[in-house]
Amino acid sequence: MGIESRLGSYFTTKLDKIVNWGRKNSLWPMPFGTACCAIEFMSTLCSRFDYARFGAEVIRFSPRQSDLLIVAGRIAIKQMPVLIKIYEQMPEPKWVMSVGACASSGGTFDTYTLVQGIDRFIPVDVYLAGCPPRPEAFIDALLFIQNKISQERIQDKIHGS
Amino acid sequence: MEVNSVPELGYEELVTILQEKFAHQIIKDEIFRDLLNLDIYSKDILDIVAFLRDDSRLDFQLFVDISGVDYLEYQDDSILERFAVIYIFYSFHNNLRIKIRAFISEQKAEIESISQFYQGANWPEREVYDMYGIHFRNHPDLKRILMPEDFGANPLRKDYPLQGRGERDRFPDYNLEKE
Repeated sequence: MGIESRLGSYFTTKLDKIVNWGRKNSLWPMPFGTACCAIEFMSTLCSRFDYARFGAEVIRFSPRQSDLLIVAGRIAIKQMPVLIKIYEQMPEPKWVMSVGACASSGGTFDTYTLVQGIDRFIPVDVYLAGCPPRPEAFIDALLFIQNKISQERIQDKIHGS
Repeated sequence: MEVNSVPELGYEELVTILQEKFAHQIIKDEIFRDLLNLDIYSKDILDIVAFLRDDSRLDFQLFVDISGVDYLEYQDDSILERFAVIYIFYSFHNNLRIKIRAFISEQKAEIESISQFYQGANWPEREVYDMYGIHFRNHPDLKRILMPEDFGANPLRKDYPLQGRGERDRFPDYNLEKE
């Protein structure tokens, strides 16, 4: 089953390329900003750093319209169910960016109330180091995700692997 | 609101009035830097707060804050019980501030709610209940306000570890594989 059995492998590789080209150059981010990392993300979007150069400037505050979840800031244990819900509401294919020390590892908040890294509960594609990361790190992370997208195959997503 | 025609009080007069009325209840009073500190036991809180609010000479209209304290392993003779709840009130009429410290025992960690007198005390009392496990009797809606409802611990008690007891790793209801 699937398109690769009906069409030749030459066609599906070319189809992969076209679809991935479209996906990686029109990522629509959903910012889940809870701390200063989100402020840094705002400056990344503005004209000095200009995220729009990489096609990721259409910020959607609805998870149903976006495919890149940007978790920027510390996530309390009361908030983690909300984040999981938002992640589940995003349509496939989707990618997750874990921004800064707090979202990636809990950071300096090694306390009873904070999730020690969101990757315990949702899959993460790229981690950004820093507290908060520089706008250059955001751009680097986006390029990393673009590179990752360009190596994906449609049939992997179709088969749900 | 009608204008209060009673002359203004100073801190000394306030202490005199309170000592006349609550000589047996007040354990200690101290005026320090524009603030009257009172130490009492938790059973007397409702009488004193009602008097502070309703007496026309005192007229403490503004409830400022409630906070809890855990005096576990505290080396001081003035500390009578493990827990205390601290109330701060302000009188616009007299420009006086009062801080009441009500001691609460560890075995019976409960105190009467003052939210019947001051609506604003509702949420601060819930916060103290959440953080210290001090039960407020006759509170209209006593439940956790900051921590998740199934948290099952009181994190600001001194015997609670900073990293918690594994609450931050337990999410039984949210399993991504479920669907």
